[in-house]
Amino acid sequence: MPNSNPEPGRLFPAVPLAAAAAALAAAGLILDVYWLRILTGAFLFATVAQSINIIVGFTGYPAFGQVVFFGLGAYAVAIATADLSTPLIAAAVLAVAVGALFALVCGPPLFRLRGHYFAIGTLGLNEATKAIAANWTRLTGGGAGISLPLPTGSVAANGRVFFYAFLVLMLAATAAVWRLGRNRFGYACRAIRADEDGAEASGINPLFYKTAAWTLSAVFAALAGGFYAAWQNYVDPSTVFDMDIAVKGFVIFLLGGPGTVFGPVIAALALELVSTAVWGNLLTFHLGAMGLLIMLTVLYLPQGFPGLARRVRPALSRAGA
Amino acid sequence: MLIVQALINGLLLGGLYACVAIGFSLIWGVMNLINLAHGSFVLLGAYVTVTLNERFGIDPFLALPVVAGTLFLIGLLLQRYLLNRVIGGSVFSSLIFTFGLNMLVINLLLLAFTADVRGITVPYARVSWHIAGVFVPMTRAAVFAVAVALTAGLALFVNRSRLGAAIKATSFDVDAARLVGIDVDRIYAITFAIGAGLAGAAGALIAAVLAFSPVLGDAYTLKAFVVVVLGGLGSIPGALAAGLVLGVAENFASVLIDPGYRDAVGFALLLIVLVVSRRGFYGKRFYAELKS
Amino acid sequence: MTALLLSLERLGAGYGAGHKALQVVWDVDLGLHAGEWVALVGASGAGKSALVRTIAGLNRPFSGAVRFSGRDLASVPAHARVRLGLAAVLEGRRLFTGMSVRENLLLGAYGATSPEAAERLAQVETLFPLLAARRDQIAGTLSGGEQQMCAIGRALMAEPRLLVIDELSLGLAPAVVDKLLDALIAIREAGTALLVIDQDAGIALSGADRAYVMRTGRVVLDGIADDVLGDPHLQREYIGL
Repeated sequence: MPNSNPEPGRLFPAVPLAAAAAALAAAGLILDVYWLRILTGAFLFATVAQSINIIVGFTGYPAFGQVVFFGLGAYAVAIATADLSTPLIAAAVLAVAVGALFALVCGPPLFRLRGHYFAIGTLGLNEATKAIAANWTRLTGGGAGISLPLPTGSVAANGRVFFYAFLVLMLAATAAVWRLGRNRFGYACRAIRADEDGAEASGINPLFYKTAAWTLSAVFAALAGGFYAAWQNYVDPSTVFDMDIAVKGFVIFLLGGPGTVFGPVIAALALELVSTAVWGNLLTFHLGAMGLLIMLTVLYLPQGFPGLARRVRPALSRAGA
Repeated sequence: MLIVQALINGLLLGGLYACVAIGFSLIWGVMNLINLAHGSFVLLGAYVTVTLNERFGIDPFLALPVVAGTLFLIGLLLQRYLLNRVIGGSVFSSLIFTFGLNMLVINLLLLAFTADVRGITVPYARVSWHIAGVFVPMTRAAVFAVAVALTAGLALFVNRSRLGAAIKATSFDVDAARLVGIDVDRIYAITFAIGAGLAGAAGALIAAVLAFSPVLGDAYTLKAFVVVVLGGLGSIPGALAAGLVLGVAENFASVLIDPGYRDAVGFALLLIVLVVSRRGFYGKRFYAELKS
Repeated sequence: MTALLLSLERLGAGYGAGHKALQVVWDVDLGLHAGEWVALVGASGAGKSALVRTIAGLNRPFSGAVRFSGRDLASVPAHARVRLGLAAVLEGRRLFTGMSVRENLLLGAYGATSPEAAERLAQVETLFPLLAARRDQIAGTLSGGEQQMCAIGRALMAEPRLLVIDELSLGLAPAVVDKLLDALIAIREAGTALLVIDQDAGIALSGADRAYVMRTGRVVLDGIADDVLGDPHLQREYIGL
C-alpha cells in the first residue's frame, strides 16, 4: 500500500493550475483534430486514474478491476442511445446510476476482503461482467457489441465537443479528489487506509465509507465510459471491459503519486504524449512497449514523479514528509 | 450418457487445470506474489513444445522435461534480477508489474508465432478407450496421469525434502526463516523457478491435447486463480480437487447451457467462494489466513 | 578482561529506510562476554525490539556497529549470523505456525546434518519435556508459554554461543515464566551466553549477571544486575518490583 498522504495543493499551487486549465480550454479552440484526440484520450485516462485515486489512494483498497464501471457506463450509454433513443444527457445520467448502483450492491460483499483478495475479487467481478456482456446478446449485442448513432456535425466540431466534455469530467474528478483531501469524508477514508481496525475503534464505520468511496469512484469511471461510448460510437465487451484500461489508469495513478491531487492529471498528459511520440507507430509492439513501461515504472518510480522529486530535492522532501 | 461423458471429459481436463495452478499456488503461497504473467509462462511452455515438435519431431511428453527445465531457468533469472526488487512493495505494485510482464511476453509470443491457433496432433491422437460406454482418449488420459503425477511430486517435495521444509517455513514467517539460517532470497528464486517450471510443464501438456494461441494467456492465469482460491491457498490436494471441480463445472456449463459460458463459470465460482469463505475447500488454518 | 562476544558500539537503530525511516534507538553501547547473562530492560516503545532486530540482522543499523566475536556484522546477512553462533528469538515467538513442533525444532538446525540435528533435538526435548510430548502438534495451536518454549528450543537447535530473547514474558502467566527462567539457567550453565530483553525488570534481571536499562531509545542505566535492581530510579519507573 503506498503510504504517502495526499498533499492537496502542496505540489502544485492552485493559481498556476487554474491558468493551466484555462490554457487547455483555450487550446481546445485552436488545436487540430489529431491533437484534440490525443488530449481527449489523456483526459479520459486522467479521469480513470482519479477514480482509482479515490478508492486506492485515499481508501487503500486496491480495486484492480475498476474498469468494470467504465464498461458498465459505456454500455448504459450505448443501450440508452442506440436501443432506447434517449438523448445523451439522460444516457449519461443512466451511466452514473448504473455505476453507482453496481458499486453499492457489490461493495458490501467484496469489502469483506482485503489486499490481494480484494484486488482479485474486483478483477473477477470485471471478468464476470465482461462474460455476461458477451453472452447476454439480447441486451448487449453479445460479442458483436453495439453501434451508437453517429453525431451530426463536422468531425472537428464533434472532436471539440468531446474534448471539452472530457476536460470538464477530468476537472470534476480532480476537484472531487481535492475536496477529499480537505473534508471529513476524505479524512475517514484515509483513516481506513492507515489502520482500518483502529478507525473502526474510533467510531468510523468502515463499510459505509468504503462503499461510499467506491461508489464515488464508480461514478467517475462510469461517466468516462459513457462519454467514451459516445465518442467512439461503438462498444463491445473486450474493449470497454479491457483490463488494459485499468492498468493504464493504475500506471498513471502510480506515476502521478498515489493520493496527490494533480499528479494523475500531469502523469496522464505526460504518458499520452510520450506514448504517441515514441510508439504510436509501433503497432505490433504496442502491447509489449506498454508492458515494459509498466515494469519500469514499478521498478524505478514506485512513488511516481513526486517520489522522484523527493529524491532529487532532499530539502523539499524533508519539508513535505 | 452425455452427462457421464461430460463428467469424464471434465475430470480429465480438471487434472490439467490443477497442474496449471500448482506453480501459481506455490509462488503465491510462499512469496505472497500473485504472478499475473503465469498464463504467459504456460503458453511459453506450450510454444516451446510445439517448436520442438515441428522442428525436431519430439513428442510433447518427451519434450516436457526439457520445456520445464527451460522455464525453470527463465523463472530463476527473472526472479533474481527483476522480481526480487518488486516483492516487498505494495499489493498492486506486484500485480501491476507481473501484468506488465505478461503483456510483454504475450506480445513477444505474438510476434514470434502470430495469433494463429496452434496445436499438436500426435500420431496416437486417435487412440481412444471405450470403457462402460464412455470414450476416454488415450492422450487425454496420459495428460491427466502426468498432471496428477506432477502434483503429487510437488507435494512430496514440499513435505519431505529439506529444501521443501525451508520453502514451507519461508511461507509462514520470513523473519523466522532467516533467523534459522535460511537464505530467503535463494528460496524465493528457487520457488519462482519451480513455479515457472511447472507452468512450462503444464504448457507442454496443453500442447499435447488442446489448441492454443497467445491471447489465451490471461484465461489460464485466471483459471489458476480460481483453482487456488477454490482449493485453498497452500493446499496441494485442494488444488487437485478444485481443478477437477473446475474442469467438470466448465464442461457441464458448456454442454448444458452454452459453450460461451465456460469462462464465466470459473469467475462465478471464484466470486462465490471469495465472498462465502476466503479459505476455500481445503484452506488450512495458518496458510490461507496469512496472505491478504 | 575476556574479549566481548557481542558488542554494540554507538548503535543507532530503527525501522524503514529513505524518507520513511524512523529511528528509535540512539547511541547504544552494550557489551556481553562469553557465557554471560545480560538483561535489557525497558518499557514498550523504548526501542528494544528495533535493537534486537538489528542485532539479528533483520534491520540495518542506522549508525554505529554490531560486533560478534570482534567481527563487524555489517556485511553479514541475517541468515548467516546463526552459523556464527548468534541465535535470536523475536517478540511474538514467530514460529512456523502451520508446521509441527518437531518440524519447527528441526528447522532450527537447518544447517546441520541429520544425525547432528537428531542429537540436538534429543537435548532440547530433555530441557523442555513438554515439547517432546507435543512433538506432532501444530505449532500454531500451542499455548503462549508452549510457543515460547518451542521458539527458544528452536533457537537452541543451532547450538548458539549467544541466545537473544526479546520479550521473554509478554502475555505469559507467572508460573510459565518461572519454568522458562529455570530453563534459561540450565542453558546458561551449559555455556550459552544470554541476552534477555523484557519490559518487566524483575523478570529480566533474575538470573542475570549484568543489566542495561533503556528509556526512549537510549541506555540510561547499566551495571551489575543487583546494583541495577536496587537503583531507586529503576524502582520508581518500572512495575514488577
